[in-house]
Amino acid sequence: MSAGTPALATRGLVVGHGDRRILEVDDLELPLGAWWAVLGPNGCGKTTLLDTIAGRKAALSGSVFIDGHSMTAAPRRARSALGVVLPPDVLPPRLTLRECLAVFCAAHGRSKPAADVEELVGAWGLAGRLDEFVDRSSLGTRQKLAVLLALVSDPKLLVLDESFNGLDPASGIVLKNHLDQRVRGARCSVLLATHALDIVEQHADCALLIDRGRVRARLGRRELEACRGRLDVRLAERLSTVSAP
Amino acid sequence: MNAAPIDAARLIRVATKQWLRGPLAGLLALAVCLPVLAFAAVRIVPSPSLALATGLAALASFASTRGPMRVTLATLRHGWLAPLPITATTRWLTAAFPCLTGAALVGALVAVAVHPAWPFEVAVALAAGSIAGAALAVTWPVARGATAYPQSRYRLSAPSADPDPDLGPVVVDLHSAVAARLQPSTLARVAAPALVLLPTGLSSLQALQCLAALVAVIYGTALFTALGPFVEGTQRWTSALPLHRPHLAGRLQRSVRVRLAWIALGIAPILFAALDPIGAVMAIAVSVGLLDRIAAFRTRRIGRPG
Repeated sequence: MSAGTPALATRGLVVGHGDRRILEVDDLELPLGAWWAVLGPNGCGKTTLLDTIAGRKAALSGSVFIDGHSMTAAPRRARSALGVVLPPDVLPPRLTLRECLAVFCAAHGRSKPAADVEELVGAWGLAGRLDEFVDRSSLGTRQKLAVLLALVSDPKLLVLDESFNGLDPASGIVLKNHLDQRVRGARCSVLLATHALDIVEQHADCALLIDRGRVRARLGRRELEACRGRLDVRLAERLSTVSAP
Repeated sequence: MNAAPIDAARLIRVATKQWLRGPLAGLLALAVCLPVLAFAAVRIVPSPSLALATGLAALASFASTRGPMRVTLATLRHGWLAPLPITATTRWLTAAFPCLTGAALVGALVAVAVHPAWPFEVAVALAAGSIAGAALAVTWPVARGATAYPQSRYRLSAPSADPDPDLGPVVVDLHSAVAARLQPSTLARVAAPALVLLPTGLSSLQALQCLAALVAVIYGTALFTALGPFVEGTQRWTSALPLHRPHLAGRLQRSVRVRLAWIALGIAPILFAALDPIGAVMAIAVSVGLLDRIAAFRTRRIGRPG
């Protein structure tokens, strides 16, 4: 795809069950080299949005494009450019960490993970634990594995849903720096659903505020910097405004 | 950018490795039960026909492969491999290969075990039937929405506030839970003592009927043992949906009734062979009616508020 192709684009996305609409999203365009956060109260539709973008949930209507490839018309090409950090509980219990990485490398036509992914393995102290079985690993280790699996293909779009949960603070910093490097080098874009507002304040270029299945506000970098340290109050104000009759 | 070529062989190899690392207790149960099954088969039918051997092996293999295939395919569709750029064919092969390998292995072991008592061509027919049954099971369609229990497509969705929500996925979940219980080792553990208790010298047709009845009973047992935990689990997450719970209970009951009808069909031949027609009809009506009441009693708990 050309340099100007957005890492993610959605067009008229509507998600629901049967005739019931649970999420309606205005057209989104996430440029390559940007970090977007998805914020909102519990049950507002953050995970539904991320699952739909990741192809884990089918939309009632509308389209998702990853690096210019449609998730419905060219799903394999779109998925080749997509890294999804899975919930740790879906990882296969009877495989080792090394085998999981090998499967993801194989599915992306690689003989081994990229050099910076191996650096991340080292920085997290996982190099000596790659032959552990997944079901013998701690939640934090499984969370790290889920991140590594999403990164092996050097994706253009990285989707993370509360993926810092379970990581110790030092490992969290390592991951934030790693993602920052990728984003600032325009190697990928990050779409992160989170309640950790410190990450949003420090790293996000834009925050989407979702409530009751709709994007209610977009806060740009300048606005995020302006309310540094009191983003929670700002979000509460925004939510009370959109909730007012 | 072109999609990267997929190393399907490596995916299949890893899936098979994971399958072979199944719980040790299950593998041991299978290893103990296989000679018992072979001994019981030889005792019940001293001189089987080729058709019978093929039919028996195909039926047993189908019954024991269907559950694992359903669970594995659902895991691949919705689980950890879901984000990968793999084709539907690769996904199917990744699920089917371990199932077929397992069936071929078990078929070969049973053939070796019965070979001293049964002619060589019958032993070969057993192995072939086992592979044919497994092949049928892996090609049998699996509902696209099926999830690998205890994951639930419905629970992953936002709770419905509709007066008439689509509860189909919950029903699919229940039958995924049943499929998760129908593992080959479980089937072997139940079938081995049952076959030992059967009378000797049965005709080919009677033996096939017995096996059909046995499969029906095992399925029924799996259904009823899964129903309790499923209802308990469902009750927890439907507590936020008081209006929908009676609806859900009714939907589950209807679904269980369909399965009970299949079980009745499975046990009918052996009852008609053992009893007079009126007695057989009465026996089916009483047993299925009783099971239906038990299912209704259990699912009704979902309908209760609080």
